[in-house]
Amino acid sequence: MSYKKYTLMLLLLLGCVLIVLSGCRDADLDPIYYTLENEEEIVDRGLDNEISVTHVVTGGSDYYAAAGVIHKRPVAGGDWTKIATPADSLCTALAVHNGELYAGFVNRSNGAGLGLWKTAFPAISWTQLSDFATSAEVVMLKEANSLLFVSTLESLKGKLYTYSLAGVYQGASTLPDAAGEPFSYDQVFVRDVAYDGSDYWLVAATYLLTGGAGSFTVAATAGQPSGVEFWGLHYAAGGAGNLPAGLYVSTYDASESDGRIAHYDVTWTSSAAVSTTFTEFLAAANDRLWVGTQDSGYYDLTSSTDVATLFADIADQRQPDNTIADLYNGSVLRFAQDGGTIFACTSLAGLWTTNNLGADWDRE
Amino acid sequence: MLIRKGKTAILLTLLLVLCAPLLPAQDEEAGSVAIYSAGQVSLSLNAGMFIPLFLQSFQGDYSEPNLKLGGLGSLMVGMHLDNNWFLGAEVSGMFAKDIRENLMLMVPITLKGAYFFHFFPFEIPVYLGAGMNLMKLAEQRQIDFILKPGFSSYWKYSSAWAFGLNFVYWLDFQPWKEDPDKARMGNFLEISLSAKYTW
Repeated sequence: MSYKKYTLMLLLLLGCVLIVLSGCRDADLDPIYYTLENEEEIVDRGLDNEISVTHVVTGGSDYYAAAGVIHKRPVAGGDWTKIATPADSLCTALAVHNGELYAGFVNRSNGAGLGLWKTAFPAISWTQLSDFATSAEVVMLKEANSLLFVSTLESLKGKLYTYSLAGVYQGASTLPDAAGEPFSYDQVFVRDVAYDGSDYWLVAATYLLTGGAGSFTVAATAGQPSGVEFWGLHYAAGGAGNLPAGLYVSTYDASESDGRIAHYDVTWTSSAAVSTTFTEFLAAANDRLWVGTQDSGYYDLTSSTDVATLFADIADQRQPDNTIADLYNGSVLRFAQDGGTIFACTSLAGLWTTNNLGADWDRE
Repeated sequence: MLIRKGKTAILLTLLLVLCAPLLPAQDEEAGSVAIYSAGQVSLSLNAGMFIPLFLQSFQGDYSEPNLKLGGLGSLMVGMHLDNNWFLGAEVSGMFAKDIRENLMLMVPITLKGAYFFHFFPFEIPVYLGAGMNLMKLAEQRQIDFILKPGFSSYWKYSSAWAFGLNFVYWLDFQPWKEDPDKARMGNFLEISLSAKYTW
């Protein structure tokens, strides 16, 4: 072959490849060199990076993180250390209420529920509460309007209990299904609670329930999402400079394999669908609503004007920077906030912290 | 004494490597036999270090690349047009980790023109490569235009085999029409060992 033909062949080949591939980039992400230029090293404070952290709470001058075992470190900084927990137990839920640490445990060996426990802090001494079945598996502990809600599975059936502001047991709540009968489906349990100033809202699988403390009915508001799974709840009171008022619910449509954020304030509004499962919410700032996902980091929605603005281009609001790959592609179960410090609890990717609203993230 | 001789040898080698491109093709002037003839094909395998230098905006501002020292390899094939001119194509691959431990990959595919200076048994090809650079960092994938000027210093072991060292500057252009303020140029240095076979 003459060198002229050879050169022409090479040029043609290069040109074709260049044309074919020139469109292969993601314009929603920053260019690579600009991304590199703005990178900062991720600080690692020594907690194992492969663990699942389900809860972080602030108790006095310490943070407590539930990851099967319970770790603690001073708020002011320092190393994480394990605290004592009941023998052969794994922590499944953690909350601070009435100045005490409440935790649900299961048996480490066989997964059987060990009920609800509490302890004062920082000196740890666990006491098992006997207000309800001590064999219950506590799946959620959450404060709303100063009440502590305890969601459990007992013989696979979901139940809900409350404790008052003073930590006094208030009894079991009624959890009816659409027919008014008590929850009868296996593994259907209350996953999240929110208070809108007059009523409580609960989500449990495909159920959205509302009512006063202790007695709930299935919500039947016009246009509410149906045929979807509910996961997280957040209520915003609104006001100048704040998130639009109303109830925010994360939903997952299993038939379409996508998630949406729905908003209710007299009427329902839903965001565009995103190919992920949204988890719990955090009002990270007055006008910023964060929502975790099961496989795509978290989404950061900002608006103080209206819901349409808040939900605009939701698919582009994925966070954090994609070079923080373990968090960007991670399962963010929930957030915890202590002043300007926000924790992201992940499944199998450890615990992450930001002190500047997500501009940088460090590993705990 | 040995150390002094060694230093002298290194200095002479460096002088030869760095200054040779500036010299005329003395073999021709001396009337020596041509090493290559039109139509001969050379194939070289290269492996070495990828040294991140700096990033630069199109306005001229410099910044740290935030990349660690990396590795690379390449395969080049081409045809000699005469004793001095050479035209070929090269496929390279590099890897380096950023400061967040993400792996950055580049695969430049370039056309390469070279001019060989001969100092038998050494030869100094000075070349320029131009083409596309397939890149990946974390979730982002891009294709840029890249220029790769450089030179090599080869020792001719036999009429077929030569071994040497490559010094190649990678200048990668990354314009960004969505936001021109984010456009940057990447500046890197390749230092690699090379084995070349000609037939």
